[in-house]
Amino acid sequence: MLKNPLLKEAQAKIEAGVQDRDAFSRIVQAGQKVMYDQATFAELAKGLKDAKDPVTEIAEGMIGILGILYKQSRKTMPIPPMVLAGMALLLDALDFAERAGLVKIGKAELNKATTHYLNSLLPKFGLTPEKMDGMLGQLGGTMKDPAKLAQIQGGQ
Amino acid sequence: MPVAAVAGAVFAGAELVAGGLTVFQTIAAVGAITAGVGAVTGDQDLMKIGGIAGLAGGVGMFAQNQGWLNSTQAVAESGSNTASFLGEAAPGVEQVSPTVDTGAAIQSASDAGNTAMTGDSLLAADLGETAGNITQGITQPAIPTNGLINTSPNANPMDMRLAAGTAGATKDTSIFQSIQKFADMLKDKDGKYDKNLLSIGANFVGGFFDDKKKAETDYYKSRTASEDAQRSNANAVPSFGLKVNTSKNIFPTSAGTYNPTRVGLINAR
Repeated sequence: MLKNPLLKEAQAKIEAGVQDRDAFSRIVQAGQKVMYDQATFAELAKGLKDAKDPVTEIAEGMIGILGILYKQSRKTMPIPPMVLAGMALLLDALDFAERAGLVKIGKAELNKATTHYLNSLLPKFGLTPEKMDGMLGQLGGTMKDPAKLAQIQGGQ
Repeated sequence: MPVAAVAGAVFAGAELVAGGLTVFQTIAAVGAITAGVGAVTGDQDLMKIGGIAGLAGGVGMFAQNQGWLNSTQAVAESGSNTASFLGEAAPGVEQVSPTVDTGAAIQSASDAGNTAMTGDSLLAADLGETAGNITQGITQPAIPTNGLINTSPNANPMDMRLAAGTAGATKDTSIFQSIQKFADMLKDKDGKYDKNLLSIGANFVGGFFDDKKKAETDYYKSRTASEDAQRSNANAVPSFGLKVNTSKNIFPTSAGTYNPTRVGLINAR
């Protein structure tokens, strides 16, 4: 249970957007297990104490934990729910760090952690800005086709 | 090994090649996170970017299912051709002209004290020609002052941006910029967002993070409550007796008062 009301509210928003709830819950549970594992936790805590920018460090640490989970799943973990689960775990970690007195989490810190998390995570499994440019550029072109646009509007 | 460093090692080689659908699902997830956090922190930019990412993810999944988009792999191969996808010239394209460096140009660009022969000047010397002859009829481009090379017009737009010195493409890219570029595509000629397209996006992301669904639900609840109250009031009109005129009795009673039976009660929901 998160203590910070801001993080708590963000968690509720994130969970509201989850499509594959089963996978999401399993990844969050596995993540918490890894995160609070003695060895991992000691490593994370050490990194945080030495960190100049604890918020960024926590976001990076969370990506590391997702990496461990991804490895454990033999690279079969579905990525979309993993991205959401990672964010839920990040909120958890930020809350914990605040309770431990390592960092104060306000709106700016939450924004920073979120953007860093996404910007750092996505390219790691190949969704680079260049690739996104390509995909979204193609999609934008499709959406400018009136016939296809009509289908999109009718297809909802 | 620090935990953070694990990710780089583990994710290396992990590609979203399972299909474009996965990519768009992931973009939708990014939208969900960004819009959600933006709504909590009150960051308008994050909210907008999240909404656009939600739109891109939702419409992208639909378009992918329709087979309108190339495979992820194909896009990945041409992923850096951003400008061609956007249908606009990459910054710097207009500044690029065919480049055949002259020995003199290269010489002047090099360190003044450095007398080493460059490839082109060696070639010119070998052919017994002057640099001017080689470049006859070809416009001499300005010598780059940023240390970056000029490229041919057929080169990758990313390289052109490098050539133009607008190297933001490499040092300042983020997934949010990619989403913003997509958002810019949804603007009309006046630079405003196309409402039709945005309405699609709103429908895709509606109910996730904004209060639209909640507002709708609250409205219907209040409307129902209001109707219930009206119905209740109408049904609660007290019964009253009508005085019977015994000489001209039109009521089916011989009593002094006729109490009519209430009809037209409004049924409850």
